[in-house]
Amino acid sequence: MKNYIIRRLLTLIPVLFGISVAIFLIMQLIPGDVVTGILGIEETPELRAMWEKRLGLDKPLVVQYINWISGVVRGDFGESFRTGAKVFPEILARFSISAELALLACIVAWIIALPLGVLSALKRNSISDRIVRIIALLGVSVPNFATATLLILFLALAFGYYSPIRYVSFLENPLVNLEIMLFPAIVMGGSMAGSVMRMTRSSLLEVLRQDFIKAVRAKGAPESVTIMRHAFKNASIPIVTLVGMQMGILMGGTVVIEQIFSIPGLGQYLLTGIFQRDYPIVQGTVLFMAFIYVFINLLVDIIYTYIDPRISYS
Amino acid sequence: MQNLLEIKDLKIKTLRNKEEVMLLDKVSLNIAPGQCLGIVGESGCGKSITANALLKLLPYPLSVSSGKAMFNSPSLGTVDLLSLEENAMRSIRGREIAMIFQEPMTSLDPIFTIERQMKEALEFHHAHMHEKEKHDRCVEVLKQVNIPRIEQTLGSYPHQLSGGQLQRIMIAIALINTPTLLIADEPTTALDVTIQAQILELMNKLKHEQNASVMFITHDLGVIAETSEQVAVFYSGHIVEEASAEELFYRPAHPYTEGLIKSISSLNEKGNQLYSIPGNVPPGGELKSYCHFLDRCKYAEDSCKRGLPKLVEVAPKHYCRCFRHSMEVEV
Repeated sequence: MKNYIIRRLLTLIPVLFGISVAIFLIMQLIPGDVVTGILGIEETPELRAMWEKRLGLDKPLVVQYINWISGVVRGDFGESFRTGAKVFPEILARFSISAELALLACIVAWIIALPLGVLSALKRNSISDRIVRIIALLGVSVPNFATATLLILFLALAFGYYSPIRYVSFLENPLVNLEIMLFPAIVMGGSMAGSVMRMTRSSLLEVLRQDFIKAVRAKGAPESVTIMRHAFKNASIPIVTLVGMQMGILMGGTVVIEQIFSIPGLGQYLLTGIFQRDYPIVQGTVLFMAFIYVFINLLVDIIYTYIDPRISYS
Repeated sequence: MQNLLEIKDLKIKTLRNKEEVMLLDKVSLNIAPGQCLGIVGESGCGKSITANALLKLLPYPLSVSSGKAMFNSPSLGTVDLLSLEENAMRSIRGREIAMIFQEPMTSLDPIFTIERQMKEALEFHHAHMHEKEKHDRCVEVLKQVNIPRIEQTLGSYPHQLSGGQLQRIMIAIALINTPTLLIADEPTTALDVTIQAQILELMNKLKHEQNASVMFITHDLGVIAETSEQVAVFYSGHIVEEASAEELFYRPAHPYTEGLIKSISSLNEKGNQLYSIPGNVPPGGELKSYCHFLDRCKYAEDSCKRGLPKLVEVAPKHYCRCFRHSMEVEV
């Protein structure tokens, strides 16, 4: 197991290297650059040359890349072109916000999806199953920026409620923090719930068809034991996979939802970086998101071994 | 009631394209205490669903449409299994009637240890049993089914054991609460021949030791010969012949039984081609109004189409559903 984890962490290196090259090159391809943004209409060739020299943009691309990546390896993601602030501490601070939101969204999704998914599998083809499947379809197909906007409008028009605009961290004031996080978490969790619900339903139905379920019943098991102890646990592997992947994506921050609810998470940071062509911010954030994604997938793979004894990595 | 189990006029239906389709009809069977009843027939003739119906384990959309199955339960008295409510049924499953399945490899939950799954069978019926007691009981039954290295086996997961071992464990689980009736649904079909013989020997031994009645379902007449005293031959949802094993093998009355016996391979007939009954079992749901075996029967005559022959006693305690023995028609 330990060897496996070490091996998996080692494979992270080429993955992250590839991503770093890709994101570096993509940033060069986007039209417009940071200097244009900073100077605006006051741009003159002299001023431009001065700024490019200052930001290190006058050097060949390869040198720029090496300068950046050698810093990254040492844990220094560089400074923002605009503000001069260190990128890495900012990423960490914003990650904690995005991660909190992701966690809340997952909790919302589980609370909705798992009971409904189980219900829908057990009462297959009944009215309640149909209703659950329609909810799931909506969750999967309605884009969350639409639900988010509608929710904000609805709350404002029907109840005159606006969630606090200024972000407050959990440590500062947990209640206000949760108030801010609640609605974006509901929106994100709701759309996640759709696919989790579907996966729970189909995976549980698949297990319920298997021979050992009948054998468990033939031993005289109460239905609750058959379902929860045997069927659900066997059905949980694909659910864990799905939730892990979604978690990996959400942890990296969601650009749209954070923007709509003005939550200063990683997604918002990335977006600002892109608008201002602030290369160190974009490159650093994307690299960090990729790392989180791969890391969560590793966690999922480790969780498998606890669920299913047939899976072992030694 | 003298018998342990009396099935009367069992009918099982299913839904196909929202239409009711009859899969099993007019099935009546008795099992005496300590007796082994063999049920034999090709795949799809209704053997397994009969067994599953007794424990109310029919998969959706199958259901019992009518009939009775009177069971002499040690705890509940004489009850009709088919109309028993779920709680009472649960107290019978695994305690008074236990079942062994065809596929040992898939009949145990892959993510729990053997010990956990064996203890579970005790837990469901003896809520207050001590851990140590449960463990001892597991060891005891595993010894009965000749499992070597018991402690190691208890800690194993199903994928770490062989099919033969798993089937022994399934038998051990079935025996753990000393049931009065054991339903064995093709317990040797998925195993290779040497293991088959061991399992059959084991089942015979246990039947004598525990004095349990057995309902032995198989498609293999050879297996029937080794295990059963009484035999019922199923064909396409009906019983076509029922007799004691000896009577059936020496004086088969139904053309289908005759064909089955003929198709048992024998070492003495080296070089000859294996006999097989021409044609296939008609698909369920096409229960015809005349003899079901007509299309494959070598004695078939036009007059056979006049109706479904009745199951009649052709010799003492020997029943057969064929116009060659009686002209009576089922109404």
